[in-house]
Amino acid sequence: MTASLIKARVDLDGRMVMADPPLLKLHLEAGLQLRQCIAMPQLAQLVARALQSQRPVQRTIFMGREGGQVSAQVVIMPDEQGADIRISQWRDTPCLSSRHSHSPLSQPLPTEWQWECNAELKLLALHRGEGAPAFPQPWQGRLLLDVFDLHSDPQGRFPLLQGRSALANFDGQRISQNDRGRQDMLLSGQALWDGQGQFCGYRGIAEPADPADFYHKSPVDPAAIKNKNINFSRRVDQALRAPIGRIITYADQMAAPNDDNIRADYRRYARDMAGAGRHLLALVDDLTEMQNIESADFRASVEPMDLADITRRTVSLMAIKARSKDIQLHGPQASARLPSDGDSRRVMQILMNLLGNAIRYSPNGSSIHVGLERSDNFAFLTVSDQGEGIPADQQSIIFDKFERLGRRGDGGSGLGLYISRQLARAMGGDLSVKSIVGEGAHFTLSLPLIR
Amino acid sequence: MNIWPASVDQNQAAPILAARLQDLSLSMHGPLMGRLTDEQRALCLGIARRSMVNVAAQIDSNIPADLLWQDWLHRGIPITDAWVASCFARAEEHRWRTQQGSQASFQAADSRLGADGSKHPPRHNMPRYGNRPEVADAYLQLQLADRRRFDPLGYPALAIADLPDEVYRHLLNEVARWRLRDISRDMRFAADLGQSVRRAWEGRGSLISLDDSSRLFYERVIASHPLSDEANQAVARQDWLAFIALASAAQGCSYPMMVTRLLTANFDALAAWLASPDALGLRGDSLAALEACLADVRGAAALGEARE
Repeated sequence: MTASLIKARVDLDGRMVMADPPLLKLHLEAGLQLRQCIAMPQLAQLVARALQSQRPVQRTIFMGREGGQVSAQVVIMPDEQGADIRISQWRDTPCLSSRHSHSPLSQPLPTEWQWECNAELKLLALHRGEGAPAFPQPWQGRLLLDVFDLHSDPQGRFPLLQGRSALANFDGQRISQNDRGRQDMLLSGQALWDGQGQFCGYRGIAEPADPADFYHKSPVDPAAIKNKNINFSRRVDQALRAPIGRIITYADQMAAPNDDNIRADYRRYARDMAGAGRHLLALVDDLTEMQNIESADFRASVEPMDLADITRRTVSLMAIKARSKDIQLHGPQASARLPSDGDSRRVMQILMNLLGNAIRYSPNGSSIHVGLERSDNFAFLTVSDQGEGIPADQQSIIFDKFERLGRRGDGGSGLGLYISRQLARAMGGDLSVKSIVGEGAHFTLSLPLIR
Repeated sequence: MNIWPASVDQNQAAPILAARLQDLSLSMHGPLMGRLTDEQRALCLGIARRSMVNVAAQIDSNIPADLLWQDWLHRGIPITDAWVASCFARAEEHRWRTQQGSQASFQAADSRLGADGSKHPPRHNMPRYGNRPEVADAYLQLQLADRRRFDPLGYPALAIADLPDEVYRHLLNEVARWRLRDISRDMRFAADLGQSVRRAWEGRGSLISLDDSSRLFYERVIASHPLSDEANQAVARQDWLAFIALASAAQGCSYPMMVTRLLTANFDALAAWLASPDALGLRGDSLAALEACLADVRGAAALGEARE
């Protein structure tokens, strides 16, 4: 139990003349009354000391009670008539326990890094387990965003930036090293606070990411690295990602509602800046991906997979985003199976793009269905929404690069459908659309059945 | 040339570090410090080992430090008073800040809970030195120097830059001596080893120590702000790194010396200096908070609650 400030008063002889209920209860349980000396030995000792020295005294004290103990932070302020007692952080624990039962520092596992940064996300410490990947040098005092590339999670979010914005713990932030190929790690961090409740940074671990869980293929395929376009794309990616990340971080800091020094309208501007920064970061992802799939060396890996299983997993991932608009997402039944050929991560990427668009352009409270079918040679996955639909003359251009159909400011980059169709075709399938204005849209992904 | 320190008899195993630490603590006559706990001894011993490992790596990354340490444990660790004092100060500071870190986390968590237990946003998200970039930079350097005092696994250690000259020289000599005696008697190898020791000694000059960082931080603080404000703020935030850095630089003593002084001195005597406007100018509430936390650390030592 944690109570707010508890007050009490003693006279010059150290007798308790007034006490708030929690303290008075302890005092009475010990068999003493008001106007008698304090029953709790540690507290009595501190009061005597404060009265004697006429100097404020502050301590963490422990007070026993039946079946447990109370710990609290006590401040005693002496004056000419006695002393005021102020008690905070009152912790009533049912049995004797050590306050120091956990260490804020733990050692990394062999495959992990342990890291720490300050409130500005500048790296203060990086320790690596014996079997963990090496990290780039130098890192001391540099912005985390300069040392590592941040990658969005399957929902398109950046957990680190979100955590920093909300001053909260975070996990699942995928990072890669921007100066030595791809050694992706998943970063998690616990917010650190000083004695005044001031946020002062993060401490956490980074563990190797499981490639199977990641729907993004590396934007820099090692086999294609010789391609000049890819190198250019990689440089653009590196050049943009860190400064955009910095813009988001600082804008989020300015937009934090607990910073009283920033005017409310400026906070709104900062929020807009952070939102625009996130949009730019997503665009960088898309541009990098586009460069990748347009290279002559690009090959999608094709292997047997269960399209129904991938669909169920993706629907599950997108359910949170759908719920934010009160949209019902309906995927295939748990027993459904549809074996086909394809790259499961790429299929998931396509499906997330289709579902993301469907959620974005569907009205609140509507439904989105994901259906599966098969023909002699192909498996079909169709995402059907209840949005406004797409006019026939625009259905042919919707898969073009940067084609937004006149829409602006909705978070899209105009590259998602283009990339999705290129990926589908690279796997031997296709992506098409059917729609009637006012009756929603149906996007169909086809993939070859297992040969 | 006899490279053993005068305090160590070559023909007889030196007293083990733990026993020496006990002697040291007794000699300090600090309140509640008459007996070291097992944890304090273990921390000191671990820090001594890691400082040796650090020094050995400066000479030759192939030196089998584990073997060396086992050998020292068997034959007796070639300790010196200065080395022991460095380990002791680092260990006690680690206990202090680890313990207070736990409490700060608890208190910060409490501060974000309303009376009804509901969560509220934290109270502050202000850049610590937002309008004083030169102080912010010095504080960052101080934090980096502080974090260098951990080994790669995150255990407390002594950075090469923070070892007193006599301790560094002593450890270089001891490690080189062990390497020479137990690994090879080849004269060419000995010459290379001598070169390595010399390079290690000379190379340390470019490293930034915690004392350097503390002085820089102190100078930049007093150039832009009243020192007493900063010191009181550091206590209120339980930012003991900043507080010790300011106190040591203001007093003109080393950081570890200030740690030992704070943790062992009679607080009433210490308070007079800390409150003096010519020194740190701590207010009554800050003195009370500092005394409370020092009492916790001393109390934990007496109860044997400290841990690594």
